[in-house]
Amino acid sequence: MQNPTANGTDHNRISTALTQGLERITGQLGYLVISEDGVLASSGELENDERTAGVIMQMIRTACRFKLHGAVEPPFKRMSVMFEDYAYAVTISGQKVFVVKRQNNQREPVMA
Amino acid sequence: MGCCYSSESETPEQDGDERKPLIPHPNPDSKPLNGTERNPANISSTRTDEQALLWIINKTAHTLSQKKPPSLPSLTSQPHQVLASDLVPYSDIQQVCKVAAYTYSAISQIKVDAKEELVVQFAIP
Amino acid sequence: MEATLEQHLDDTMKNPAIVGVLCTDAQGHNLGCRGSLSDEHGGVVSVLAKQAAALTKDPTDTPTVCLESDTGNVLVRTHGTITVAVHKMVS
Repeated sequence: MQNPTANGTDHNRISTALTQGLERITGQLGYLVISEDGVLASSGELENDERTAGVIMQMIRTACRFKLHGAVEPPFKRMSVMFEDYAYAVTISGQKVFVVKRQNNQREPVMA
Repeated sequence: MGCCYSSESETPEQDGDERKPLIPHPNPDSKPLNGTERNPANISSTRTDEQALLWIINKTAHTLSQKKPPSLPSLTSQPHQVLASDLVPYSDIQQVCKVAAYTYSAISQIKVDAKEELVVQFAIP
Repeated sequence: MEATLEQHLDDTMKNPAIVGVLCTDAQGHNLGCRGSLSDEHGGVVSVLAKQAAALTKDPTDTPTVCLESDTGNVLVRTHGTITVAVHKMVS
């Protein structure tokens, strides 16, 4: 009954299994699934956040130009943008860009 | 603006830019004027314009499709696992912050030194 | 005077986990680099840092961009007018 918000266009609606997997990530504050044509799904703090989607798309395209030692493939499987209290984790799979906004509370010193 | 076929003395300039075909007409003498002409030459010229327009539309569409950014590479086949895995350790973030701060101060030093040299030169009479 | 930066880059590379380091200005001009990171990476590094800053409205919350793989990470961080990238292997 709790269907994740899928704001995508009908012809590109993505499967519920895909978004449920993102919902289950510990400490997630929101997510975006983006294709070349636009936002396919969004939720939480990133719901309908076209602006963030646009910046992330630019970033991941820039990052994919980064090559090491003349390799053809980009030398990474995730791009993370770390802020003080939160982080964006981004990856690409099957022509879709997945973005999860996660809590980042590592900064709290682990002291007895 | 002329409204009918008048004479051969009419200069092409009088038509103005708005009447210019999208591509130069192969036979300027048969230029249509407000569609009042019915001779076969005029009809064919209208068709030529339409064809030219179609050709331009097709060409533009083709160019646009070529300008589309290249398709996205696949970074993983398991996006959920990749996104859920641990974030970069805070100690690594601290380390790069430190390198950035030290590098900045190393470079600022160059600039400050250059300024000091200038000040010294001005101070000496 | 440039010795200060060059010396600093050499010192950074003394950490065995660090295999590359690069420093660029805001325009992507390479100010110095070592190891796996070279001139060609300057542009991408400075652009990535600038784009990341657009993700927050808080100008005091400077982001660190990490390109992560199983073997190592490239970390990008801006300080003032310069941006550095550090390529660190997983220890």
